[in-house]
Amino acid sequence: MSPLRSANAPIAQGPILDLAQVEVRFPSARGTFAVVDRVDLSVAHGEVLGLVGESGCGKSMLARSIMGLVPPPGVTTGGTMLFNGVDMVGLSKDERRRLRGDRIAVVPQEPMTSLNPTLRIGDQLTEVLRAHRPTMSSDERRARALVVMEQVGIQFAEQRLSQYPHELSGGIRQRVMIAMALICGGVELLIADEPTTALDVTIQAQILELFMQLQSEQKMAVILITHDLAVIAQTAHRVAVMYAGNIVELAPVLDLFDVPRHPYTRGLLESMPRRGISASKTHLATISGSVPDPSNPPAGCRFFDRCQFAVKGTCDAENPALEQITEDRWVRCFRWRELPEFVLADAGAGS
Amino acid sequence: MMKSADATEVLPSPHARSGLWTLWSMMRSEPMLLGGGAVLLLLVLAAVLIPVVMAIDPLSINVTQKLLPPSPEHWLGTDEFGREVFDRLVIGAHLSLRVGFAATALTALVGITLGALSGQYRLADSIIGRFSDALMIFPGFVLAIMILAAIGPSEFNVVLAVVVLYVPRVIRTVRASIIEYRSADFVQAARAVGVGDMRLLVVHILPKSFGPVMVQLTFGFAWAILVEAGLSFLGLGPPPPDPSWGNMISAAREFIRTAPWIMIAPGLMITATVLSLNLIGDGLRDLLDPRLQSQVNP
Repeated sequence: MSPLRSANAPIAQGPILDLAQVEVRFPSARGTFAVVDRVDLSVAHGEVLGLVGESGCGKSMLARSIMGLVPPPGVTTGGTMLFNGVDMVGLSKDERRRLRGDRIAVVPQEPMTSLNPTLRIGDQLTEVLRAHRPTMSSDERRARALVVMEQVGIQFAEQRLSQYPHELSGGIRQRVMIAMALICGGVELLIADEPTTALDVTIQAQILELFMQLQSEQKMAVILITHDLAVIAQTAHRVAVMYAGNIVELAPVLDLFDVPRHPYTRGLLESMPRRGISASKTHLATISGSVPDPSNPPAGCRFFDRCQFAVKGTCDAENPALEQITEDRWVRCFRWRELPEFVLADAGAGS
Repeated sequence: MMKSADATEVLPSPHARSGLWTLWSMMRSEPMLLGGGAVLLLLVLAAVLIPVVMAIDPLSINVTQKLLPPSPEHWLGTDEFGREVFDRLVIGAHLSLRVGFAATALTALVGITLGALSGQYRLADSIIGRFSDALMIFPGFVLAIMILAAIGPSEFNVVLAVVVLYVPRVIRTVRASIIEYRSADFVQAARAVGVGDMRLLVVHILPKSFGPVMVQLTFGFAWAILVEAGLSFLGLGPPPPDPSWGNMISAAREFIRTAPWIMIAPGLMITATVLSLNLIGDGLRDLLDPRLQSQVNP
């Protein structure tokens, strides 16, 4: 097991988050179309769930839907979203707002632009407490900010409070964003939307390490959205693979990497850079084509056009259902039983 | 505890200097802003202080001393009723600046409120948007005349007309910057930690429109003074005998050959005031929008 991954196995009790048939729809000239299509997904207490897929497959929109922040004119339609047993779909706008930042937090993708350039760091940190702990005095807020900044490894916290975002490096800004997510102290579910994509590789490792340390200290559940499978391999307990608004595969992380069942997952793994590729002069594999237009999805399997195993007549007739194939694995493919064994090119030279 | 990557990155507290000092050091590099500001400050001080330190009487008539040219006794000469042009000019400055300030303040209040509403709510946007479009169809000054003709000439009605005419521009500016910034990453990030809509608007979004709105209001100020002078000239301003620059020019038309100073003095005052405000507006724009500046003088 990777050194980064939390040693805490997910705590076995009811899931912290249980999504059933969640749909996010946008209006178009001809009715509406779904960018997140009837997603079923649950996250256990203390679990790190990786959510992967290429750009435009609905990962971020699913995250926004969980936060209650689907950008208009999009709407979350139908389905249930149980957070600790309470259906968030039925909550009022203000009740949703009170969950955000307090019990469900998010770490954004772009630390460089996610802080208001005209406000001091301290004001932006304490603003979260102002929203959720209105009875705290400003001294208490400040003290709490200092504690959290130390937790996330920001040195000279006292001085940072009075600095502006442009005075901080990207890594520190991302630490500030993490501090903002944790400052209320009771986060149960953290959604990290590509938290390291905008950072240098060396800083990436530090931030991931920090994430995992905080995750195991605070026993919070994390949904880690990324298209970097290496990050997933190091950190997640389970992985959900999304394609064109559907979850196409859901599996424990090691199983997924060992025996990917969905052709799309296989394609993602094959297109991951790895050792030995250049030595053997094989080109890095790619998945040809692109994600289908969500406003005009194909009738059959959404991956049909790009799938090397697709069979006409079966795969393009209807979209396969997400099928449970073992106790903890699901796959959305008609032909998963018939696929040839998965062997990574030059896997022997890799790790 | 995590070790941080930036142990070397400690700076002496960078905000020892106050915000005002920073503002001043930025302003020093804008000669237009400084020049315009100095002239305007002088005008305001003169309008406020001269009546305090000198005996000013813009209304007293002295038929034995009418149409006298400027001299040590009559600094700017006298008009056709023997009234002091200087005294009338000072009180006229009072009026012009009062109208300008009142109209600008009211325009800001109404414009920012309505602009915020239309940036925030679709329904408000379509209603307010159509009204401001309708107002912007008319040539400004013609509409001002129509309004004054309808509600009667008075100082307050002049202010009202200027506000009605100028407010659509401010609404548009505020609305545009709200729409630009409401989906900015930092606004979304603040929303994602539970900051409420009202605070998002007031703390994160609205301040972004401050720069363009300031510039616009400065030009609005200049425009208000011109409109007031124009309306007074046409007899739609505050009624005589109270002096305003506009009605002074209007009354002086008959004497342009024999006593030109009666007209020249208020004319120069209007020019100086409007010019200084326009300089301030240009300077502010350069200061607040560096992109635009580099296009104008690279």
